Amino acid sequence: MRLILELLIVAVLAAGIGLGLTGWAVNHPPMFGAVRSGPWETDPKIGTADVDLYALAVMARRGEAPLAVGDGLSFTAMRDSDGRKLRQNCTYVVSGATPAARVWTLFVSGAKPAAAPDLRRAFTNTELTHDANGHFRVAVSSEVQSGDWLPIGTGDGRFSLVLAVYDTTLDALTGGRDVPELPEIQRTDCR
Amino acid sequence: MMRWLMPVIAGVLLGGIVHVASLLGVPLLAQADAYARLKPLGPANAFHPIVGTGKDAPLPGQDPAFETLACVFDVSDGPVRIHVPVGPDYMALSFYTRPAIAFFSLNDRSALAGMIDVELRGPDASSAPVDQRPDIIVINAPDTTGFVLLRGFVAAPSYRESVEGMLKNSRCERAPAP
Repeated sequence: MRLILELLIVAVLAAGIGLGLTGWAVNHPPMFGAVRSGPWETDPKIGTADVDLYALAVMARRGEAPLAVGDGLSFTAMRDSDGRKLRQNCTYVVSGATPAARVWTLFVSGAKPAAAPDLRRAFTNTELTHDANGHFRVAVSSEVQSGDWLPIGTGDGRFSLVLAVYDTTLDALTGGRDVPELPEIQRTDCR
Repeated sequence: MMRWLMPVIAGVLLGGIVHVASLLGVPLLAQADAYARLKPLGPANAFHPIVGTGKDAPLPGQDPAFETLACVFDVSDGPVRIHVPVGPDYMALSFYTRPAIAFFSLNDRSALAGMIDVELRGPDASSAPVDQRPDIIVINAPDTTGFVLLRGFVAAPSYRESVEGMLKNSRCERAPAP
């Protein structure tokens, strides 16, 4: 009787802990070895043959394919520079120096796109306007904004911003520092 | 109390093993991974356009500032040739194994005379290239199946049609028999 009870404890614990951890990990990627810069983070190994098991499981579940390292790197921000979650009912200003890459883009993921199909879906390095210091400034909002405007769908759900840099390496981006200098994300107002 | 300690410790340790084993199993059991989503687009060893970038798109999470073609490859019956004429803008060709591990990539800067020409061979194909020319890049895939993504940068929406037209001239096809 006692042996059966002991085996039952072992089995329930093993299944609960093992499958529970796996289920949690594929929904909340642990991002081992991530490189962070302000609100932005990337997994520099995701586009290489050294990709870790967690990243591979997450991609399999989402049906995604990563950017190959020879193609580019994509940085994701789920929060603004003050650490608050990005929400569709707020307006954000993404600004800063342009990344050291031949081609880069800024786009929204994890939210429904703006309802009008002809609205802009992404900003590329060639489309942005720059000030006298070579800095850019993009407003991310579901409402029309002056200047460079990246529309998002209406609602109050969470979303992510993706900054994808192409034909460059992390070393080129960081320029000898520990982490690359990437744009800031400032919240201006919420509805 | 002590007598329950052993089964608890054993359960936790075994839990770690179950965790690693199930994590390894996720890519094997996933019903809608990238490969499974790209396969129904059309026959293997041919390029097919990927339309849309949302969650329900054939390949979610893609950069909307790109036009993408996918070629699911199978090199078990011989090599596959990929010809990509490049334009003035950025373009990248990336190779993935079935579980979406990127094993090779190159971009328009690797082009010779405005053309990227690749011969993709299986893991054990060690014979000379079918068509021996110095301008062909020979790549050995670690597995016989996988997929290739050809991504063309659309610098501004007005360039979309010209990038689409450019990509239409690229080919992914079974290499001619020697």
